[in-house]
Amino acid sequence: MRLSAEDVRHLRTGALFLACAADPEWCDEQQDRILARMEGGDTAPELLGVEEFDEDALVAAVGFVNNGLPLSELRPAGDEFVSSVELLERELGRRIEGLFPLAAANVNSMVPLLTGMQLDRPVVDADPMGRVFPLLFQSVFTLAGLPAGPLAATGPVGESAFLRVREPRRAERLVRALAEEFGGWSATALYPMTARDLARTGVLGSVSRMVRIGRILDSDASASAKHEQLRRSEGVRRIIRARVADVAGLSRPAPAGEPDHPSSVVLIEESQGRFVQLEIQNELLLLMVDGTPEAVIPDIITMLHPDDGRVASLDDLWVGNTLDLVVLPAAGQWYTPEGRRLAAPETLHSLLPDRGRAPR
Amino acid sequence: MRVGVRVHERRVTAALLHPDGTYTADETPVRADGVEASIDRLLGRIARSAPTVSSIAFDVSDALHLSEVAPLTVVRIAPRPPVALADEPRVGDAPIIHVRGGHTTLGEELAPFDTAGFRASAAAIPPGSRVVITSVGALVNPAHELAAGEILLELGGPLSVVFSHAFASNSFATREHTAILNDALVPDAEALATALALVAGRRFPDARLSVTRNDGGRVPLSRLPAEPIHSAFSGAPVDFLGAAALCGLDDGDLVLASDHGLALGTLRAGAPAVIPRLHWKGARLSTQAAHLVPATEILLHGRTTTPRLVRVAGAPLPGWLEGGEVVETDHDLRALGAACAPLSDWALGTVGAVNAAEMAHELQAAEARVRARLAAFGALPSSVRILESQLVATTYEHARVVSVRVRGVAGDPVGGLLTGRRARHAAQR
Repeated sequence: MRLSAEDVRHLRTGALFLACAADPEWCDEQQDRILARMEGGDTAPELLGVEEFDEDALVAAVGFVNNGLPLSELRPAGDEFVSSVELLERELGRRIEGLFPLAAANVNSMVPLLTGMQLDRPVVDADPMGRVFPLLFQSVFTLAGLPAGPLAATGPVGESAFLRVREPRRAERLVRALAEEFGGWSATALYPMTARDLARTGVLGSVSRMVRIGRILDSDASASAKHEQLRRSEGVRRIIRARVADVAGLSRPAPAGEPDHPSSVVLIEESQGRFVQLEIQNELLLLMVDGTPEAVIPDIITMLHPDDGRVASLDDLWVGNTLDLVVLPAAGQWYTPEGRRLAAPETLHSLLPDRGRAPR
Repeated sequence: MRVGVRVHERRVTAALLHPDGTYTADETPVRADGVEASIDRLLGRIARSAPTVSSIAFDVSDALHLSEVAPLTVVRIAPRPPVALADEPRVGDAPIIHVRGGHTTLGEELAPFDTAGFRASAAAIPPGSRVVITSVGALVNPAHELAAGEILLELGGPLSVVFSHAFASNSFATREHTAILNDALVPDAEALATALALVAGRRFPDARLSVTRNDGGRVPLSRLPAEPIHSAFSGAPVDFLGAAALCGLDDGDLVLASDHGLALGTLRAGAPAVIPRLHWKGARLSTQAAHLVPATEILLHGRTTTPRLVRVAGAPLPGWLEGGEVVETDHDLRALGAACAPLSDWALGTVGAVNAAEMAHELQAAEARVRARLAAFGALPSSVRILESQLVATTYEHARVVSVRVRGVAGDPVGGLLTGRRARHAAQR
């Protein structure tokens, strides 16, 4: 199906809902670039189910990997993903028939739409995470034993690299280091695989889910009606409405080699005096109410404005703000023992003072 | 005595905060002879009734207007320009000059500054233009913005040059928007600052003159021409501060009902809670602004402590707010808020720090800068209070880079200013 301009807008809203982004500004700019091309007469992005591809067709993920200046400061010139996809194709000697997002949330969910328009390739309705995780190896393909590479990376200055790497953890370290040297981010094309492998291992339907969620949130319905529709349609639970009481910007030291520092936010639910704690490191990792965990990554923890159900962002975590904290389940693969090991808070060091004290 | 003055095109209002904690109000309409003459008349009356005035704070948010007569040119310094015109965020019809350059988040050069290229492009900028220069990474290292500015100086001819690194945001677009808007406010700000200094200086030569800011504080009036953006949206925050003074609130929530609707905000340690941005006509601006949101029944439902409610005479109250305790006033809260506003300053930025000791050092240095600036503004060092001092994580950015955010004020908490007690020490000389 061809996505309409409204679909693109809904996708952006759904992507921000699933990510609770720190930098929604760039999601907006990415959306604007897509819409400007559509208004300029370019063919609208095409979204296809993985079953619509030939089983042996080559598909690949595209997404930003950040480490340095944010996208809102160091804006892409616009050809970086085209360079990476073409470089990957040259090295593999095959055409990539479809592109899927590195993460079905936040700005990376929009990347295959724009790149697909530039290269005239369809977007595959699937992704490796079913949400966004901070590290690129936190993918269902790692669980399935698939390699992350070979991969191609292009930076904002126009420099490119091709990496013959298989192990996803090594790919994470190498691309993250490249992103820093590039200036802040790497436009990465990775996880090349057949449509058959994607259908077997990927999180399917995750792009259309963002459009579906966005359609609910962008509607004129009341906040409570939106919550009800999200509950019925996507299993979204409203955990608590609480007011931000304190924010600790750097609550623990940062794990080596990973972006950002952990932060903690304390909220108060005033009618019953309940104490709510959010742990954050790039994403919302843990939600506790009165000391009891209500949701832990891989659960998707996110926030809405209580008065009209608008998507809130990490920018809204300012003292005095009242927010609805909501949770929805991640893809089923993340609740297996292997999935939990790959995506649990310990992996992100949210509860540990440093890497050297990890439990055995 | 402290005086707060609201400058409006139709009337000028003053609140006089007496040493015994009482206050009085005065007002004069603006006649054909203009705002300056009206302020002179008002201050003349005050001088006759209360000759000892220690400070006068002006709120000029109603009087600052955009002046976009001069042509605008936007200079964008980045490693590469957009490859497609559709990807280029435009600023009206303003021409955009792309220059190669920029720095990383650690302040290292990402691409060398294209001196020759910019010198050639800059020659086409019409004399008398406003030029806004924004460079990637300028918040950490402004060298390329300054290099571009120097080339513009070499060209000669009248040019107004604004650098984006004057505004603390790690978003290129936010800094650029802020710089453009700031620049458009400068002509009004210069005229106002000069006029106010002349009039007030004539009537009260010993008084310290200041201007209110979007955070509900104030700074010396001499700062207005350089950074009018930080005073252009001060109206609602200063109204809010006046309301807090009126009901003696230092900590807690307050709803202000006025003709503009219901505004909900939070007071902490006698000053409004502040957020680091403001949305204006779809753009984000980098300015510290009191966090005021429309009060709704949903937002206020279930709170254990009911917010204090201040109602400007005649303002409508929704049914769900009726029945509680209300402080009613028919005085100009903005003038009162200006009289009560503390001196205020911020240290904001992005710094590299690899361990706790370095982070602590950066924070201490930032606090010291704030204390020093407030003392330079005329505050007694002992009256300075640091209301916020924290390092903030930079999501998905370099782990060695953190944001510093320090807020200092000088002056007594607003909730105690109108109690009538004389025991409180004056915060400013």
